[in-house]
Amino acid sequence: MQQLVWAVLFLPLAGFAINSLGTRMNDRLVQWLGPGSVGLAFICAVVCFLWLQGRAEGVRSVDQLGWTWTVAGTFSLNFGLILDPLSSLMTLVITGVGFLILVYATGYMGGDTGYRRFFAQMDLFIFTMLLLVLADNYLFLLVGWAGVGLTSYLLIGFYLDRPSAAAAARKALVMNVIGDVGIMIALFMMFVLFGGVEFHTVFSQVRSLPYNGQIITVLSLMLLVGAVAKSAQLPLYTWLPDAMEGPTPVSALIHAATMVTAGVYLVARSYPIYQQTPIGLHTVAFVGAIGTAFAAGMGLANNDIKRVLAYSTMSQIAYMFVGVGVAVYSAGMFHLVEHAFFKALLFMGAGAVMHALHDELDIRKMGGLRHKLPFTWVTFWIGVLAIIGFPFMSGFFSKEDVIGAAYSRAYNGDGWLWIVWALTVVTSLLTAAYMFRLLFLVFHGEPRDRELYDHAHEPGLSMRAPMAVLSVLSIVGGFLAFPGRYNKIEDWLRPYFQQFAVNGPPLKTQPFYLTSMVVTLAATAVGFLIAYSVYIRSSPSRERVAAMFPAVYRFLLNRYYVDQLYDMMFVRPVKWGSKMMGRYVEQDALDFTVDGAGRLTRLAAQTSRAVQTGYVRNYALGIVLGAVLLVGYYFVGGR
Amino acid sequence: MTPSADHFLVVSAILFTLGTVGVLTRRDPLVVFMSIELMLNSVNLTFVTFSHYLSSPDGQIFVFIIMTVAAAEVVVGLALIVSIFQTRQRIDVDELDEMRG
Amino acid sequence: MSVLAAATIHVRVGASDWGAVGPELILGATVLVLLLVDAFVPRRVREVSTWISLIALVAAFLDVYFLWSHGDSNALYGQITSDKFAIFFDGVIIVSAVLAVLLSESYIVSSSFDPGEYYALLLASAVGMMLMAAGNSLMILFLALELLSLSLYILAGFERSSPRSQESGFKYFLLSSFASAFLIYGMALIYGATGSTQLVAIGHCLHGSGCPANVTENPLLLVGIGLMVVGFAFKISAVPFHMWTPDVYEGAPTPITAFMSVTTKAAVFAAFVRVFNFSLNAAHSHWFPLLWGVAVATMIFGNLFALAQSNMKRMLAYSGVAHGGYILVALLANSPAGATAVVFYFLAYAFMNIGAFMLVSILESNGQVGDDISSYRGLWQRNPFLAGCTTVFLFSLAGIPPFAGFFAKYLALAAIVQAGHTELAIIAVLTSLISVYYYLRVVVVMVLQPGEVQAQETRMSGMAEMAVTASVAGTIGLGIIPTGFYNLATQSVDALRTAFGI
Repeated sequence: MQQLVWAVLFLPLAGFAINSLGTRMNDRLVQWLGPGSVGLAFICAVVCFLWLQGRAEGVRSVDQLGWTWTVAGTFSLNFGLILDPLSSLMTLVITGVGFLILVYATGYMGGDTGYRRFFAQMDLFIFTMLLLVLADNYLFLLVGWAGVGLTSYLLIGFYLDRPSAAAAARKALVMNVIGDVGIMIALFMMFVLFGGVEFHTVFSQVRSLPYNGQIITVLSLMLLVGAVAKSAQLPLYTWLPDAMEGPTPVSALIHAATMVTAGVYLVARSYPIYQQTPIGLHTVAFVGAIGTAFAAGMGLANNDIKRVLAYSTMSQIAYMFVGVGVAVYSAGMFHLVEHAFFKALLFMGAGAVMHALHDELDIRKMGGLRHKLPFTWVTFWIGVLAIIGFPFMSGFFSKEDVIGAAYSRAYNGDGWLWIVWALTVVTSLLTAAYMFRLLFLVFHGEPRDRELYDHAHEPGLSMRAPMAVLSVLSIVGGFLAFPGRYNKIEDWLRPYFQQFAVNGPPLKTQPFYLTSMVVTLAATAVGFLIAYSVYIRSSPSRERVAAMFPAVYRFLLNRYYVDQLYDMMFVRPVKWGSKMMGRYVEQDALDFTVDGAGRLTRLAAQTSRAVQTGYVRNYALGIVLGAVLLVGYYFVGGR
Repeated sequence: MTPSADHFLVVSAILFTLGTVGVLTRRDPLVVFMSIELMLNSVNLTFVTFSHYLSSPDGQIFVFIIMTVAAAEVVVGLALIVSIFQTRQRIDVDELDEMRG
Repeated sequence: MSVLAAATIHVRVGASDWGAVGPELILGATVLVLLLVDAFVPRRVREVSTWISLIALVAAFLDVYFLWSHGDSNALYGQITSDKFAIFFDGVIIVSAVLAVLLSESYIVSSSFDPGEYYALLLASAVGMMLMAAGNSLMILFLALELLSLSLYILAGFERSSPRSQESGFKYFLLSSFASAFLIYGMALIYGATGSTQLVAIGHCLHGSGCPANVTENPLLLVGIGLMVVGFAFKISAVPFHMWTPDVYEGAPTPITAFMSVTTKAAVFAAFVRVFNFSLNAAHSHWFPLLWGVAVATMIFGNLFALAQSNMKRMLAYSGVAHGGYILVALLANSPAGATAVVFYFLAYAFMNIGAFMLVSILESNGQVGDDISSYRGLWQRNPFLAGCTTVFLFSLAGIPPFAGFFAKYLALAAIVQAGHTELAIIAVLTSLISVYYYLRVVVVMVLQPGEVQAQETRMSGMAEMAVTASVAGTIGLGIIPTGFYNLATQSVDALRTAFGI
């Protein structure tokens, strides 16, 4: 039965292959193949999950060996898939949510000329994502890791006729490559330290390194560089809002539900490494905690419906980082699952709004849409309630798990984590504020653009059905855990987190703290009240709020000037330098790496033109010169 | 004075160099080609020298092979030159520079 | 004295001698048949020569398969060998030839050549290459090299109506004969220093049996080695002997470019390994610095110049130069692991490099501009299959896992690191980083840039489709399950070690 895990991995690949390579394909066939292959993979993933559940806790980790990949020298690597609670959970989310989003896309992308290309690339993305979570060693994890980066690059730049999309894709690729390099360095270190890169090899030896030593800390930080870049966390986050240039289903699947959460998966998967280095863990927690508030602040002042959601994604992933960063890995994973539900739902809602308003993104032109789009309005409400952690909605339980985890670690002696806890609580206030702001501006109040409003209409069934399913999941999904009573996610993941003996903070059952929950809920309520009074009752009105804190407002509106800061610190000096070097900067759309590449190309072209004259005699001269050099070597001291 | 092996080798080296210089300096493809033949023949001389002084037949067999190959090269080379001549009036190796960079 | 004396007294060339060169004989006979076909078969059924070539190649491959299990044997008094090393290269060359024939079919239809001559020359050059891999004496090596080169000169200039093709053929001819002169001069000097043209005998001589004690210090030998490096380096287009490569590749008919880019290199490297790693092994310290310099220059300049190209064929020509550098690195390891890496590299290279040229050839058969990279815009829409496969080939060439090229490069680097020359590995990795840029650039153009709206669809003939599919299967298969082929490569090198007693 466990062999079925191969089917999980390769079904989407088959979908991609047929979609992109098949001759005589029409849109109808594509429409069935794209989601169909992922749907089948989901069924296989469910079967694998059930099979795993049927086994005793101690043996819930199966390494499916594929083949020995290399035998050269002393190094050999078995390519295999790992089927354990962690990977099984991830495959369920990826294929399940992926299937729903692809179904949604059949409607959303209808009529687009790149219909087939879209589904081919989405299937390819799901394959690489599955490879990332199923690989049983870091090398193939990296292959998947780079693969999702590449497919996300392709999909962000999906609208070929938009230069902004190409620019966004390039930005994402460059930042992701920075992350890939981080993981490559970590990989190299593992090679040297442990003589292998299989999870088992690495994790069983990691305790031999000095606890909290420099080596293990550097290793964990290198992995974190990769995680931060992929998950759009501080400081490598600026690509995520730009990535919203891609089609909305792409944003929902890649930039909300799956790919951007890969960083959380990486940290959870590498828990024996992080357990060995409290500094590494703290870094993860603080990157997360600062990120939550940082991103929420930007969400508060943005006027683009998808970008607000992008910032909220960044903020929510930061929560997951806090969860794994305080060594309550199951809490981070729990929030990952719930977030996949409600964030995909919110993006689908945003997509439905865009669909209704001819791709209008500016929330200042919306308003009152609840009359035109009642279904979308209800599902959006559900999504918002889930994300702010309204009691008994899914986000309530998972966020409570994370914030409670931080509280518990802080309460039990790790004083630094009070800061982390405080930041997460403040962020729950901000979350409520910016999410309700979005909801009120889009669906409530009076329509601000009559013409757009009049043409609005509900999406078709293929889009509504997945939204309905995700709404239900966003409501009931949280009952996987009930604070202080039971925690199914933790129970399910426990075998994995007990597989390797570790040092560091104890991995015991997560207790429940009423104080933390009450404070969080109160903060959320305040956030709601602020949004309500500003955007519904208009007292104080939006203009007055903006006028009250003009500097703050501008600061947030301009996203803390980080893009400008990066521009000033990195981009400008390079550009200026290149200009000084003789205006070598090519304005060529092909130059997606750095300006240096363009300069090198020019130089190479000049040299090659000078050498490669086309004259036979010159070539013969080259041969003779080479001969003279080689033979002359023996006469000039070469002996 | 009877010539020693060194004399033959030096002569063949000089011939080889002359051939090389010819390839580098001449512009008529036929002359360039003849220069290459000169280089091949200087190698033949080397082979025969070694064959004689080492009392080994290998060198002489090699010479036959080189002569045969040279003949084949003449056939192919002249054919190529003629075919180029059909499309261009003058033949100058420096004119064959359409592809470069 | 020995060879000639034996030949005059009792010539014994028996069945086992012919058996050892069976694949070469099959193809050689087919060359004659094909020429007859052109002369006697009516024009409209001349496609038959495509099929004859394919059948002959399959037969030759079966013979290769048979010989592999049959064991090593020598033919013609040790002049030619059919050890597993030679046979492995025979296999690579035949596979490449099959791909080239499949690719040539639609090309010939679109340019109305006489197919018989074309295929005859193609197969004749393949025979030359196989003999080169099997040559166990300097004589055979030279003869085989000329056989393959002469056929390729004509093929490069085959498009008689195109000035570019003519220029390509003629340049190739002049420069290659020039370089050959250096090569045989080197051979002559080595012969003079060691007294033999047999590679095994030379090897024994250098190890001190039957030769003066300090033969490895003999200036004749050293200069001979230097000149042979020139000749070989020209054929594998190593810097600074590479300058003919882009011009010849650009002008030659594309299927021929694809074919020769892989097979000439394969054949010459087979001889290179046999001569330098085994026969001249004792003089290792003398040739190592020469090839070190050549390899470094090749990797650096090959990749840099490739960066500057806007023509796909020229870009691939320079990329081929660079790959020659990586293979030289494997050769420089001067170890069984290095030789194995060379062998495996060519298996991978055959699929991915010919595959990369296929796009150009297929576009040309469609009457479209094939070699200008900017003309690939929107190829993903016009023919996603072709665009996808080309992406795989280019990724593989760039050495991105999990494709064949990654593994090939990995073996080469592992061998050189084991041999203690990490600096070469570092240069190889850094220069490959450059290569990622120019390969990826093509992918970006194909996939991300929109083409003209009313661009016509790009069609492929059945044979071309087969060729692309086979290459893609090879490129991916070798990357994912390389172990079996790696073992074959190891065995082939073991055969050489036995033959030379190293």
